[in-house]
Amino acid sequence: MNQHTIDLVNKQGLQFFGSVNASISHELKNIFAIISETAGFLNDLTQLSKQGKQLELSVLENCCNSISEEIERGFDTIRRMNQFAHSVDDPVRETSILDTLTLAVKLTGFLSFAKKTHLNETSVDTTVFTSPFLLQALTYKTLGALYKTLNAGDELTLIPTFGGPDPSGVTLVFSHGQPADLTDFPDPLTAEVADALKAVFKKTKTGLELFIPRTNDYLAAALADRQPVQKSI
Amino acid sequence: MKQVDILIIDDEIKFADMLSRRLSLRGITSQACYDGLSGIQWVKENPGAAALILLDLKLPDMYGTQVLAHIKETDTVVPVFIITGHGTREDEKECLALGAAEFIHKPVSIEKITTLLTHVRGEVQ
Repeated sequence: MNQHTIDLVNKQGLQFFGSVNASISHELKNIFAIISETAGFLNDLTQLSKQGKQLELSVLENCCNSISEEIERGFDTIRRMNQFAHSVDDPVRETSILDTLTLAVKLTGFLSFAKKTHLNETSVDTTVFTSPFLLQALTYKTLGALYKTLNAGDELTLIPTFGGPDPSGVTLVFSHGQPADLTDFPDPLTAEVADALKAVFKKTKTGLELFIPRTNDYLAAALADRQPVQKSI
Repeated sequence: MKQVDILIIDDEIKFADMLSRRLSLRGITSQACYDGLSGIQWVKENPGAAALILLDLKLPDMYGTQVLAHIKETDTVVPVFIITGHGTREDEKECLALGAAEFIHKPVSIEKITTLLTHVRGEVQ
């Protein structure tokens, strides 16, 4: 059974890493495309200037600002990528719920459809002892599945509740305020991840609730013998 | 009806606008739409008015393949070039099957786009 969990981490790891890296690379391509067009436009203006056409300083200023904004967007994307890469540093550890959710929301945002998640951050953060990587994968897959049920422009609300009726865990409430067709959720792979985390889904009229236990002895035992991967910078 | 050389359907507003300005400097007219629905609407209201269409694959309101299918229902002739930062081989196959002229990954040079237009105009003449 322990080997099954390790296999699951490996199998999900490849698939999840591939999926997230693809979405990040797409985001970076869009950023480079804007920078490339803006630089090309500046070059066009330079050529026109050589032919005697007067340059408007405000146009140059706007181009510089646009490039700066896109570079900042690129840095932010790379910061998220780095944060995501570090989720495999430790097989199991105390894992911040808000950090995990914030990153999942950002990563699913790269999917680029007009479906956004509003993360209710009014709650004080808490941690759960679990696999940070699998928890990241589970929240990402859940958001992705819910996005498929939304219409363009719909916004999902994600509310972590730490002081709920069950003190043995954290409940994440995913809601978009209208009935959602989640007949095919969770898919087998997502269900497998939830099972390994001992997380429990509960469908509601307007979305989902996901219960995450504060401790996970099963997972700790399964992964404890694994050496942490060499941490990257 | 508004005649343009290129209709750009892309939700990256800065990309679409900058491309439009660069095309304008080359004497090429263009119209930018920032979501799928407005792109489809423009084609319906201006059938046959664009020499070619540049279509992004992931749009805020619908997938590019859906937009492509709608456009092809309205205007079977106009060449639609998919220009995207996203896109897998499966996406490419699907787009070509739906009638896209070519599947191009971002970033794309202005020379490539002007060449496409020259090519399209050459085929039409």
